[in-house]
Amino acid sequence: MTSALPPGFKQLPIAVWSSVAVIATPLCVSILNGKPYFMLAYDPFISKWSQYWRFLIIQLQFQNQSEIALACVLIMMKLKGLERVLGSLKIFKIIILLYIYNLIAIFLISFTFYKVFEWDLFIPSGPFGILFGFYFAYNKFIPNIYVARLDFSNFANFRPFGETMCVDINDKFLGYLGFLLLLIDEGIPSFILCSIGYFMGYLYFHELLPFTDSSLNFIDPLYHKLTKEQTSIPIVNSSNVTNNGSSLSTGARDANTNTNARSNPNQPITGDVDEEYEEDDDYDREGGSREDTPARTLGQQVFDTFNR
Amino acid sequence: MDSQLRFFFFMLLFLWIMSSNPNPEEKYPSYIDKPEILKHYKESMNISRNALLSDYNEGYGNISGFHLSYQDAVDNKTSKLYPIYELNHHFIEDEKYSILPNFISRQAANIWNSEDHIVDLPSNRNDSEEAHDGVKYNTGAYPLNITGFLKGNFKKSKLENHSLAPINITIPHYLRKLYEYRFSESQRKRNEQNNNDGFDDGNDDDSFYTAEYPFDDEVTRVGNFTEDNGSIRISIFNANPIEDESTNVSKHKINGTTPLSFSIKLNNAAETDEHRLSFSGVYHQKTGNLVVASNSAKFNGFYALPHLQLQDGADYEAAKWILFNEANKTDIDDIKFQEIESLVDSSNECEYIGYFHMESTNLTREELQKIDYELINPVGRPHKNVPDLKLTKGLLYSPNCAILLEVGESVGLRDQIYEDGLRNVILVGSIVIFLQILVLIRQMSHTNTPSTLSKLSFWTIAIINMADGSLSVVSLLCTMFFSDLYIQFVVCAFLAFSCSAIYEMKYGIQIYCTQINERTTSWRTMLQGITLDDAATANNNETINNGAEIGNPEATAVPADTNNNTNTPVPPPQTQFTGPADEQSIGAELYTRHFFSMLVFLFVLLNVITWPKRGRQIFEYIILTIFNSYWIPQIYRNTLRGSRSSFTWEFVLCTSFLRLIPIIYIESFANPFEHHTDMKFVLFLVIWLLLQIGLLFAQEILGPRFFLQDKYLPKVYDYHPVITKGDLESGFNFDREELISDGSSSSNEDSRTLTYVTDCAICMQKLSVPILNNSDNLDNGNLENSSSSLLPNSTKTAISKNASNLIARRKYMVTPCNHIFHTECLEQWMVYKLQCPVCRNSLPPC
Repeated sequence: MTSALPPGFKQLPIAVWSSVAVIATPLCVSILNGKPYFMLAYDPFISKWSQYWRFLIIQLQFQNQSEIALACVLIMMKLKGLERVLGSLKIFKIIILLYIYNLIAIFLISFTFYKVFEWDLFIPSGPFGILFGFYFAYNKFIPNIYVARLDFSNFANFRPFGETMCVDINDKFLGYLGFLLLLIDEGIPSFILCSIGYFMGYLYFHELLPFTDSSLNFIDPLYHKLTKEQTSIPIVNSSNVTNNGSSLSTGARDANTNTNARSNPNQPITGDVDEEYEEDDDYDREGGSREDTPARTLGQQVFDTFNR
Repeated sequence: MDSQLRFFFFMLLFLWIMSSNPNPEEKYPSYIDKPEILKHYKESMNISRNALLSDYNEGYGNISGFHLSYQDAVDNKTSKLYPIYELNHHFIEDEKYSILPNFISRQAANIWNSEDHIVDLPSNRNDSEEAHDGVKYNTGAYPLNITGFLKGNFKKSKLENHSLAPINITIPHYLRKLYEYRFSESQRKRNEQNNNDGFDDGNDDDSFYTAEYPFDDEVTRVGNFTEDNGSIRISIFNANPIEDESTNVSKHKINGTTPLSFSIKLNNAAETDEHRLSFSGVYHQKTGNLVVASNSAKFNGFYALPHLQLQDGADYEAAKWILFNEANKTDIDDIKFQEIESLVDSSNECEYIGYFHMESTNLTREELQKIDYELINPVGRPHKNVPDLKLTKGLLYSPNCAILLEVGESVGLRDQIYEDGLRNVILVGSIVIFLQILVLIRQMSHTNTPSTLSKLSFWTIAIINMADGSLSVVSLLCTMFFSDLYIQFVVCAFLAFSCSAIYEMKYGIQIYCTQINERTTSWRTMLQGITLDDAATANNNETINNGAEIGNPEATAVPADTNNNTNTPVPPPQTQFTGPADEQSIGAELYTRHFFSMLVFLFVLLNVITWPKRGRQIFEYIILTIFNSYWIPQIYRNTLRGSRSSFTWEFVLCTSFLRLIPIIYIESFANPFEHHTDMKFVLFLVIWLLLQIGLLFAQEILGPRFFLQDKYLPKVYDYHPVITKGDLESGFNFDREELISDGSSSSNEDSRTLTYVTDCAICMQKLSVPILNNSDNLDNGNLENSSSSLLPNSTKTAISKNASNLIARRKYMVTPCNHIFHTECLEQWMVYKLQCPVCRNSLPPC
């Protein structure tokens, strides 16, 4: 298994659908003039008008364009790797579970803030919690590919922090930056929501929550039915991942949940698949030798480096 | 149209648009002193604002247009005598002091009293009309915010029991020169347009400045409605409907009174006469009453509004304070000269004062407030249904034109509710367009081969494309007028544009490219293949008759000597062969044509909007009928080509249905577009489309030319004729050695099946053609010239009915010029060119 992600969204249906949903939902809501329904604060929506349904829909769409762009970039560049690690079906179930846990948490926080602290917390619309739940998994399951050390020792004589002036930047740096922007995007409310989301992620991936993805097994047939038509080639043998990747023991323990393997039952699941893949590594997708591929430009190399 | 001509038209259009921009900075002659006029105007504004705060007893004050009372006008007094009365007189609502005649103020009071007793007119005045008090129609409060658009009817009062004298309203002296100049300028421009050189500006006439008979075109004056009745459209903008902190006046003084902007459009029934007028006014939320007055340089209705409340009291005080507050929003020093210009320009109009009453609702004041909060700042709060706006009755009185208009019940919606309705309609329309795209994509995937594409009519797609393109242009145009519905209109425009310029255009280009080789073929050639012999005969006949039925030079076949068995055809001398254009250049040409016609259509449409009703209606009938005649070209093409099936039935039915939905909705139901209902036209369109679909169906069932009798019809050329030995000997480049017998032992040579083996000129492979031995069999039939003719007829068909013959015949194709090819070879060739590969003779499409 290579450490680099394949380009695009190949074999990652959930990443595709979540990216599309992040963009398409706000568009549809805007067209249908439904933006006012994605506002939530305990007073007056709950206390006066009892509009509890707002809790159900508040995580479905971001209201601001910058948040949409940020979420999309994070899913496309960073979080899609999680689907490869955990499997599509499992990711799908985790999204549902994180949605439910965050929903409960938002309700409790909103209620507590209003009743105890007499603070009518404005809940910003968007899946902040879900994204930060996955941020925990991203940190936990995705290893660093490289670390770049920027040495400023000889840059200037001014050394306020001692002799070594080095900054370490790894491949997750852009991801951290994106999550930081999301964290402070709506001020204190978004900070609270993101923190809750991260905490929920922590609890979930440490199996401290009552329901895990196995409790949603009843949706498996439906999922397989919906994704039946998609042809997929097993790039990764799920059992290998389970055995080899010690750090993935929690996420990928249930080998049966790996869709890539299950969605195409006719495809033999053997350990040879990895070898084949690695052999194919020297060839591009059209079957030609890599010698034919033109050398990457410097800009392309820099872009590729930070794009991982 | 070549590109240079197109560019010329475009530049012409561009220059026309650019030249229509008015010059914002008007240059005046030296005798018009702008600073002096501005100074006077500011002084007069100051006086008017102070007059607002005066006591009710003091009367209107020194306000332009209100110097004379109605009684003064009857007594032929002029405003030069102002102030006519002692300042310490007590103003009451009587024609002696008021601008309103007594019977009009009584009618106004009755309107205001229609749901409750609000107004008490003085008892000591001379009243010819009775007072009426009404009972409340509904239990709830009156609407708080009445911003919306209402429609109703009005009639011009015939004033049978009363006489109405016009009040002589004069323009202030400091504005006279400006008024004279601007009027003469506008008159000069108008005369220039009418090419009238004998223009007399009439400056010498002193009465020019009066409002009574200022111009010779009295009838065309704005507001001077001459017909007995008509329709009225009222647009109300209610400023500050919810009391906010921004007003400096205390709440108890305002007392639920709000300022209004009120504009009306008066039309006669045929919409040939249109008058647009704007008013300022006040609305009393507690009583549902509103009063409005027009504004111009000679009639400053805004400052007289408090005294137009008909009585002293709370309403007067509230109006006074709210108007004072409204007037002081503009600092006097900020007044610009352009304001004076616009007021002077509108001094030519009939001035109006209007009284209306808004019907009460079934909701409480709190419920109405909730609605208003939600409409102003939508957050999804629960509220009751928004009630319609209903002006129960009203009157419009023009003091200077002596006109009284009685306005009947006018009903309408709040602006936001209207926009919600429009939004829903646009969204449903967008879904319909989206479905249309899906249907089209399915159709495109069904017909992806050249042979299936060649059966389709380009013009069918072109008409559909034109309709969708127009829709996208209109939607895009609407984004400018409905800023709140920008997203929805853009979605609609985007979908319509995708449907038109991407899918339908692409499909159109495909069809066009497939049929490009037919463009030069005449309809007669399409119907009929012409053999070389016939062509020769036809040529001779043409020479004799001096008539050219087949105008296309390419369609004219080459005369060949049938007796001469040489394989060398004579090239047609007049043939101008142009190579087939590639898809890109055709696409570019079609796109240019499409967008140019869209642009022209847009300008025509914008022009049509300004037409009177009848003209608009006729235009609509014509355009909709054309846009719904899209199957006609396909029926024509089926007939020409002799093909039964063209578009899939799914596409035909879905397209017809989806395209009818919007028309049925607009023509049959009450809709936000305010289109009238016209069931007859809907019925006509439905029948017209059913007729077209029926014809398509009949063509599939009964044959494409079932409605044409054979005798009127040139025969269709059959590419798979039965070839007899006689045919071979007479018309083909025949080599006897290539005729092979099937080796049958029959002694009779004629009964044996013969095969003619030759080379296909396209693939250069061997080609076997079964040959019928002609003599006996054909003698039985009535084939007089069978030996030389390949045209199919019933006898030959009868002969060749056995199955093996049929299959064998399908394997070869014989051109009208008697060249034989493999069926696949020639079909592939004909995709690109409708010319014989050997002799370049025109080929009828198959």
